[in-house]
Amino acid sequence: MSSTLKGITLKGSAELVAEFFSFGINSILYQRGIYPPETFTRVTQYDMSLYLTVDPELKTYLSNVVTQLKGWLFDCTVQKLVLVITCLETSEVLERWQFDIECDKTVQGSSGPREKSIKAIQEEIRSVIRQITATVTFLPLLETACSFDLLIYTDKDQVVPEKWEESGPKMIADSEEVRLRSFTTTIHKVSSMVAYKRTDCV
Amino acid sequence: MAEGEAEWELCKENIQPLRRGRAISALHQALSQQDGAGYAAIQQQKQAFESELRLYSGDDPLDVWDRYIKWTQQTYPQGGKESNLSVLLERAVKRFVDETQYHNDSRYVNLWIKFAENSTEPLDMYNYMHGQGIGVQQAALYIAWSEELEKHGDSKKADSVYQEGFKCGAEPADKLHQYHKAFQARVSRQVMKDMLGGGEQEPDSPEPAQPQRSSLVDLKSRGKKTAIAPIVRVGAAVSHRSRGLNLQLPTTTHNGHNSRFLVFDENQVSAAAAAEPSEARPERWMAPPSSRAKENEMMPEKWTNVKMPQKSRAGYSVVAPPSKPNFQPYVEECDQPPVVTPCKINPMVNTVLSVRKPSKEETPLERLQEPQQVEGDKKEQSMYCKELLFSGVAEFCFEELRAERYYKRAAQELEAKERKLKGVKEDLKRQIEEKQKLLQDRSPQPGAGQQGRLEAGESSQPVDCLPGCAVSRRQGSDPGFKIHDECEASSSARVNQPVENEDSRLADKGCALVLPFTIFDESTTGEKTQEVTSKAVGCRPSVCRPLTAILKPLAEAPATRLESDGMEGIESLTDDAIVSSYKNKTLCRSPDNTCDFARAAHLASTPFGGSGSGLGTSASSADGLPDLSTFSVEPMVSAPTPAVQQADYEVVLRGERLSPIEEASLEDGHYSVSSAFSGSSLGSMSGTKAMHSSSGMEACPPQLFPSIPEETAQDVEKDNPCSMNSRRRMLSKVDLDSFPNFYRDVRSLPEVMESDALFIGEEFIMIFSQIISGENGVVHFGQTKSRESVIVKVDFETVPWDFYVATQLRSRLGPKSQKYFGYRSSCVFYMDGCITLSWGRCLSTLQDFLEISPFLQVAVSLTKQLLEMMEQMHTCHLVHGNIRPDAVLLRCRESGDGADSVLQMLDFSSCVDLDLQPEVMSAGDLPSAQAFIKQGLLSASSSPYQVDLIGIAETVYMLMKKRTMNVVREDSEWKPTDDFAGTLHGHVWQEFFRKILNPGSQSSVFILSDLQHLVERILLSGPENNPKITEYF
Repeated sequence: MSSTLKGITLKGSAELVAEFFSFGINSILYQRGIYPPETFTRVTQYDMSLYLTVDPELKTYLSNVVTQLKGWLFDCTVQKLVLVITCLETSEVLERWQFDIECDKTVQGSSGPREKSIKAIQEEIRSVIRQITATVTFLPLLETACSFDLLIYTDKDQVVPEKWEESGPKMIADSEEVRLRSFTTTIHKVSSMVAYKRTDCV
Repeated sequence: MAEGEAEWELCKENIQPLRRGRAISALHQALSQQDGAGYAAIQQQKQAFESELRLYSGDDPLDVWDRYIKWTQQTYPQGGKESNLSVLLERAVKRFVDETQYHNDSRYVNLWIKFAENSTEPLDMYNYMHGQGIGVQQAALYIAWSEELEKHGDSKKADSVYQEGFKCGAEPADKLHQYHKAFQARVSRQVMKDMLGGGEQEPDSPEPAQPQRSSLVDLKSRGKKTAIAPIVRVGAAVSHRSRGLNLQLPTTTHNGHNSRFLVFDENQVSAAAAAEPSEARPERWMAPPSSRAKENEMMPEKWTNVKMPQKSRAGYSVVAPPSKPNFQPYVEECDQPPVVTPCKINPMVNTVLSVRKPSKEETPLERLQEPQQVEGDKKEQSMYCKELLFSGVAEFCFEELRAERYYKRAAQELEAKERKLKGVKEDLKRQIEEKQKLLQDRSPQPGAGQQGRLEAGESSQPVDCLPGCAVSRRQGSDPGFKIHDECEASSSARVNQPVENEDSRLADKGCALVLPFTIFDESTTGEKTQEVTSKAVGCRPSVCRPLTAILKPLAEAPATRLESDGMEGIESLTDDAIVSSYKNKTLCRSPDNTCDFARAAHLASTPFGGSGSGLGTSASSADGLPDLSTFSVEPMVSAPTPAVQQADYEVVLRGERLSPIEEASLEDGHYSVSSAFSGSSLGSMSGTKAMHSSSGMEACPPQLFPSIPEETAQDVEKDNPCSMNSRRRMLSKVDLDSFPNFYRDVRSLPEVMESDALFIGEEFIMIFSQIISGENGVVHFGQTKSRESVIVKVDFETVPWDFYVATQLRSRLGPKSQKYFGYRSSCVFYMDGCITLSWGRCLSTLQDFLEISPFLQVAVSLTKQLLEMMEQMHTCHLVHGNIRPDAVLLRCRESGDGADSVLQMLDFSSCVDLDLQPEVMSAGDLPSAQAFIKQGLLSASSSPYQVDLIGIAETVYMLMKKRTMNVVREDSEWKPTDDFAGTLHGHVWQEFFRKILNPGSQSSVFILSDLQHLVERILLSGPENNPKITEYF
């Protein structure tokens, strides 16, 4: 992944996006306190320090998901990735991080790389992650123990792989939605959004 | 805004995170409005909350506070001064501290917790809460409390707080358990780490503990010193790590053993012993803890004297860390500096710094306890609604409160209006259905013709004139006059003997009207009054009000306020929302009431200043001249009384008894007495009055008029007596305000539209179809809230002439007036017009009725009633002046016994009151008579009453023949062009018209009663006499 490359290919794009999700999900899990902070370690990525989990089970789970996601990204069959935070006790959905993925399917035919420097893409990714971090300014404090779930929306004709199951959308009934930044590799465009339970005042 | 490019991200450092999160829309709004664009909107909302705080009347006042505070938190994401959050929290918390029903309300407890978190000493606050029993059943208190303790590193105490929570059965228990478990987990992890690492840093700790610098210390090196930035851990940041990061005990442990010397105080021994067990469960704070500066409220001090903490050899700071006393210090109970009330500060200049007033620092907790200390010596009590003015964060003024209440009420009225309109609409619909059913049932009956006509008409109560219908839809009789009961009992006692046979209502009216005018009698000689009265008035029914002590009427003033005050225009402050508790019994009922206060001011300043109404007070003399007690007030039922006596009476009154003061004080030199009512009779020039009175019931024969003293005729401007100007002048002599049901309104005339609803005076009126309209006024049918029918007359001039005439009729005729002139009328006097309401279930004008009535018999009956009605008017010296079929209304009988007629006058706009307008001496003075004079039917010098006779003749002719009357002169006698030979009782009718058209010098009253007999003959003898119809009419 050297920055000397001028163009970007489908494969590179899929990797980049998958990598973003890997860091993004870790970042959310850390920020929202789903796992204890001491189970995270700090790494430097995209020119900023990010937290990655050291919990082995979580690591495996995430790498599984990301690998699978990468495949779908390469096939351009993925539409959305949703991170759902539910209350452990009541299973009520408290937060819903949604990343819409737009794939440019024309790229599969033509093999030529697109014109966009990796630096520019990383710059965009950085701002997305920064914004995710900044959401603590308005998100409600998660006062109960929470678990998370990852949902991936794919095209309909996809075969459900092993260890995956079909799921409902897990929407929040009365939610406040905030659209966050997006980034694009010119092949994949990822726009992010967070939805949370509406506060019952005002 | 670019996609995802959010304002909130740019301001994220300035947004205080909330436990419950923020509504992103509110956040956007708040952030985008910092530039002042939407500032007004926020202020408006804030104002709305502020006023709601004050005017809330429900049973949950906390709700408003709760919403207000939540809104404040959302709207001011950066907190800060302009949010006023801490003040707001303090007020809210203080407001309900005595209301025990809220003590375990989770909202209230949360307010307390927020308040504590905003203060510098949350632990004291929690202690206090616990001591006061606030939130002892709420898990939230214990959680917040123990978290605070945990922050201070006191996990032992934190645990004991949890235990205390369990013991008290705090709800929700599982939440408390859950937090307790998490707490225990944190503590045990901490202990484990301490044991394993021996206090060293964890090897896998992601970042080394970063000590914080304290603010405002010198970072630069000076002199020889090496640049070592002093690292002093401060505040809660020391210990608190988010989400289970290892809790490091602060290096500076807080304990009470920092003081070097232990001073033994034998007096304290026992107290200390007692205080020890209170560690876990502190006693109620009798006095606030030592004052500590609030945030940013440090006392200024000289920094040159501040010494840098010296490093001692032992390596720790010499300066003892701020110790936390484990005893509760004693604080003087007095010496509380005045609390500065918050005031509205223009946000534009908000940033200006000012020197802080040197006031004693105090913690919020101290202020909270203040009221308890003050309670003992409550020396002053504010006589205004202080707590309403200072209730919220902002200060309100009285006017704002009033405006709020006004708007609120206006909104309610609007709502009520809509509701009522809906109701009325449905009602009418139902009525129409009912009527239609009824109509179908009755269609074979003779009344069918009428029905058809009326139904086709626009009238909303079309079928009322159906025989029998009236009875079923009769409405309850109305009490008639709205007179305050308070004075009724006492006043009727003062009514002189002769009145007793009169209708008691009259007496009441007289009294009520008298009340505002007090006549002070120093000598308090009751006999004298009696004597003079009897001497002067003889058998005249009169109401005396002797011996009134001067203070009494003032004390009673609120009772008569409506009629007498002249203060109706001023909105009274007496509303339950504001006053309730502020009543001063000594001066006036309620000093908050503007009117009461004004009265009290009168009382305080002068021996007697009158009650504030301009004309009405003129009878009040200055310090009691004894003979003034002779003024008795006649209720004006006196029309039939011998007039000579009245003249005498006038003389008596007018003699040398007038006090000079009184004369000087009068606006109108002619006034000797201004009773509520007598403006019309006594207020007129005495000469004329006497003349009129002496003519008594007899209509003045024309030849009498030249004998009127010249000067009387001269000083009256010769102009149209029916013109608005002359009427206005006339009415200015009359104290309209003293009439019952007369109201003034400072607004301008409301627009009266068909099928609209109006508030007129005290009445809510539905306006129905228009009857007639002219350049000076419009007349509508209407209906009140209580489904009484009224005639609504709108005058575009400020001359309530109709009301005046109606009132005069009622007063001069007494109870008899009800038969023809309705039992009630009221008037609202606006800035540019007036609206007169007269009660009576009228259906249509006679004109409309003419077109459908096929019955001669009906015409006869109507004729008789018309004659009687006019006779009554003439008896009162009132000339109608314009009798036409379309000026007379048909109405429904209210009672079945014939006590009222089916006729009612539509309006009195051409009416002349010969008592009030003595300058009208002949028919030639009346504008409505000019046509007749031209025709020769009337001579210019004939009596003005004769105008009405011709009007009656025309109307009756229309009734009979359904066409206008043409007259010819035969044998020096006028008669209709066609004779009645063909008609039934033709000769009687011929006689009728001969008499009425040729009155000669006979008085009109005589002619009218004569004609009544004539018509009665037809009624009795008529073969067509249909009992049903007679009964109806």
